[in-house]
Amino acid sequence: MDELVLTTVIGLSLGSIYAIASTGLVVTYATSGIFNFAHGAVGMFAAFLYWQFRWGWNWPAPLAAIMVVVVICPIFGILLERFVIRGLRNTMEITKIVVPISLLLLLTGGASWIWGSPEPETMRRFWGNARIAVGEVFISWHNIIVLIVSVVLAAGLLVLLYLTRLGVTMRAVVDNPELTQINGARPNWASAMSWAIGSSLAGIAGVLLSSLQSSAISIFVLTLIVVNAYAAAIFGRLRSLTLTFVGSIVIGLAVSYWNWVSEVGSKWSWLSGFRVSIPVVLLFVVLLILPHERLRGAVVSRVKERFAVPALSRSLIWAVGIVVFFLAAVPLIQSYPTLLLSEGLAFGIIALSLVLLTGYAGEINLAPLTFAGIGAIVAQQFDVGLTTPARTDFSLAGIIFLAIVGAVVGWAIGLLFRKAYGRIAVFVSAAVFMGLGVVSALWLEGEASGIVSEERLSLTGILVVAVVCALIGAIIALPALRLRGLYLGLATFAFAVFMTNMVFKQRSTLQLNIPWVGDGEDFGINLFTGGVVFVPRPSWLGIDFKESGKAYMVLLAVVFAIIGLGLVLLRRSAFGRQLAAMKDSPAACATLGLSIVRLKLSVFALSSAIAGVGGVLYVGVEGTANEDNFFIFASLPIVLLLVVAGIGYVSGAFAGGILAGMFFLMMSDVFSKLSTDYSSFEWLFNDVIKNFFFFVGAAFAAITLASNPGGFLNDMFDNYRPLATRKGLPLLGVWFVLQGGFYWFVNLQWVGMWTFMLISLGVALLLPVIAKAIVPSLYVDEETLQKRKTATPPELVGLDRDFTAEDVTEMNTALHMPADVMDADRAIGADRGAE
Amino acid sequence: MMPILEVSDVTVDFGGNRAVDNVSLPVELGSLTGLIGPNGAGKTTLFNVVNGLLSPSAGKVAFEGKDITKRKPHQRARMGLARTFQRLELFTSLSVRENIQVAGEIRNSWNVDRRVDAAAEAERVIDLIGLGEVADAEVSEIPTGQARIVELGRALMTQPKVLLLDEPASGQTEDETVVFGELLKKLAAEGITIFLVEHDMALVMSVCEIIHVLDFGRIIAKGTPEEIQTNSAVLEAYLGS
Repeated sequence: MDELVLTTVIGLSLGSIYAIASTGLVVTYATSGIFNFAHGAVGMFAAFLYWQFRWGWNWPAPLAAIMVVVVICPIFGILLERFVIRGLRNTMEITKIVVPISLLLLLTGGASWIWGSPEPETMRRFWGNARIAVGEVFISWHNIIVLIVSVVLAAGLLVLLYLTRLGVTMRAVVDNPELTQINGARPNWASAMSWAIGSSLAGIAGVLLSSLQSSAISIFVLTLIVVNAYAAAIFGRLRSLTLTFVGSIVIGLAVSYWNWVSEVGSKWSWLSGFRVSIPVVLLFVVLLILPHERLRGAVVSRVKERFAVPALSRSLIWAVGIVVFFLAAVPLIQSYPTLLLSEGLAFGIIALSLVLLTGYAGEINLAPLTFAGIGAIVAQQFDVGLTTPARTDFSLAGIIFLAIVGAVVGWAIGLLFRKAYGRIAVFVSAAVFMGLGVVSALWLEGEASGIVSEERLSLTGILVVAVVCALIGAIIALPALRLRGLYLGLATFAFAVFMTNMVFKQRSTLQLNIPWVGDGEDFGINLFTGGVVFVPRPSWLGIDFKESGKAYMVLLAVVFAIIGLGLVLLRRSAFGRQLAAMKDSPAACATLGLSIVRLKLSVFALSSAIAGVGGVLYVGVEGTANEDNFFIFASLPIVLLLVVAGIGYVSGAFAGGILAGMFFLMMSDVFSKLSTDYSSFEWLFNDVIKNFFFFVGAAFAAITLASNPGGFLNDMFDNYRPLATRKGLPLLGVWFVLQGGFYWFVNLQWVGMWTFMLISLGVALLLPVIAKAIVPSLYVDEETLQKRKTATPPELVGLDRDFTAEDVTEMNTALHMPADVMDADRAIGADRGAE
Repeated sequence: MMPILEVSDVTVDFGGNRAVDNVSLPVELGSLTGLIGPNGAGKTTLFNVVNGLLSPSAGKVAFEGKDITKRKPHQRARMGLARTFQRLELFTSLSVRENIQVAGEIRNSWNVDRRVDAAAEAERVIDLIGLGEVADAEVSEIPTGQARIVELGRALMTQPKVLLLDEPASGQTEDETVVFGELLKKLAAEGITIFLVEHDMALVMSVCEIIHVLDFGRIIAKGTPEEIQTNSAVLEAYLGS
């Protein structure tokens, strides 16, 4: 009984903190339509600031708290709204998701930069460990304070939203910003205030949560804890504060009770990761169960950007070019850059899965590395696993495989009968085959792990990874089929956190007892044995990739080129057009008779297969990987940089992968070398520039999307595009020949490798400028472009130039007005149209 | 003659708002049926109910005598029910030609037994609807009037029995509307039943054989164009307070 009371109080106070955090999220989403992924990171950062003031500089607690919660957080929120969020209106959905994520990485990176080493110690509680006796149990003052603070805050928020002018404006902005403005309110101000309030609430939640932690506060753990509040916000459908409150309390209690229950009966060690997963599991469930209103983004984002369809011939040149480039690099570079480039290429292959899924089909996945991790595990289970007694380690993949075979057989049986029996047959048959697998596992003797156990990654292994990953991807996509956009992004986020907790951090063997058979521990599944996956590099075509990292790099380039070409072919096929159609208008697709389910499942399966294969090859670069390699915070930079580089293009995956895998590390290395060479500038080179690239470079690259939604790399590519036209090709050829000749100099050792690289890079960057100087006609100037644009007949939804008499006539026709209702002289819009 | 499409007692509530109130109307096989009414009368809502994007709060929709109220939009489309949208739902990543072609490819994906050469079929439809000149343009670059015709072409690619057109002529010039009217008559002559929501009275009056008038979610009149033009309830709905 005492335990129950205590657990309830702890649960309630935890829930209250979640309530504070999640209402902040709802308030900001409501006024701006932007889901603040960085909310958790804001809370984390505020907690660290508080720690710095209170324990680093020994300020009194109230002063430190006021400084963080009342001064710094609101100012941060206002600046954020003004300079980042406002720029996101009318941008693509993926941009709306990615920019807040880059903010998240900026804050986590910034925190690592400032407080990374040494990690701060434990946050002490308010009033230390003072307790008060309630009946027979002791409750700490801290928990009580938390409860009181959250109740007061909730009341205050309700008063603010429903009784003040600001609150009414904020709620009005939700429905229609333009209308609010016309009615004399200031939507921008309301939006800024909501971000100030939201950040402040995140800050309060962060400070309170960190002080509940018994261990040292860690950047990522704290960020993820605040992320738990997301489930509550979704429960309130990002609108209702009451439901959000209820959701928060439920989550708090669930976590607290599970803690208690699992301590009481701590039998299943493999479930130990479940406690931290509860909120994300709830998030996933809530996303699936609740009926969704149409996301606001889906309506606004009519201004979608188009991704041009790549020409086949040009793609072929690109593919060959990439392979040739890496072949040429082989004699030039040392082993460390080789490693980085290989990782970049592997990331590129993984990023290709998103080009297909998000760029082509418009579905969002924030966790590509989670699927890569699944691929690596499948390879380990199936192909290159460690040798352990079969009895205790029958391959999980084997069982999944058998279940799938069963399902397929069942499906075939179902085809013979009527539809209604078909579904039952699938399940029955899958179960029978799975049972057969388990039984045969029991009789397996000798040493074996996966179905095959090899010292090298085999080609069949890769194929099995692709097939199994495709099936797993489809199975995972099944519940998520009705989700789109932000909700799908959140679901993948939740899935990634769940996988990390339950699988990638899994150290125990899942023991199952089959009744009446065996000795009580009939078979076990080791998912992530010892916290490491091993993927030894393959040996194909007489080339031993284990011996040569450079050969492996070229192999990765070839794989990238092949998959990339495949995607281009796919985009140009009927299937690709259907994907584009589904992305642009699911409603129209349905009215044409398209079953979106099949299309979505197939694209998820394909994308997941690519990510899985990429994951195996990625682990092959270093030979081993652990849970950190597949962490959500490792996935996010890849997604960000891919969007920056152009998520609709294979070239975007290449650039994004290289950026994520190599560029920022390389830059920080370069500057850290520079700082040792010029020690008087160490503070600049090492402390500022190097750390900038290392900690926050990627996030900075992506945050520019707010002011430039196409991504700056995309614009850069645009400058190169004219070179690939008929007029530009000779120039490109000359450059290629010169570059080749220069490369020859290196072979003759007339110039050094570094000089070659630097000069080549410089020339490549300046290529558009040089081209413009030589052939000015290659580039169409702004004015002509503008003229071309205005040559289009005016749309009736709005004009961006002066009305002419013809326009007025046309509008009269369209509006079915008699000619004398509006003539050119009396057209009220004439002046405004010119602005 | 049995109606190919029949809406019976359909009611749609949005919260406390009754958008469609107990509407029943038949669409006869091979006819050109019009549905008119002031803005906000519930015309598009009724269309959404007919093709399944919206489930009604009460009432039934029958197609070829079968109750399809519970069927999903894509299932209805496969039965031969196609539509265009008042708020354009074009595939903005694709060109005009691809917009039309992909509809054929989608049809091929479910109508496996009777596959067509989607590219050739698209060519034929583009000729039919007269968009040859802009076939390779991006759909975001062409004027709204033509974009609506693209939606019509896309719907035609499904080889529909019934075509629901939601304000297809808005954004067209007077000359274009005349051509469009001829096109509708031609399609009807080919045996496609056309159910038309339109604001352009001249067009509706010239092509439709029978017209239903919707106001505040209710059918207030039905009849031939001549009857509608002189109906006092209709005049009041359009011109009255």
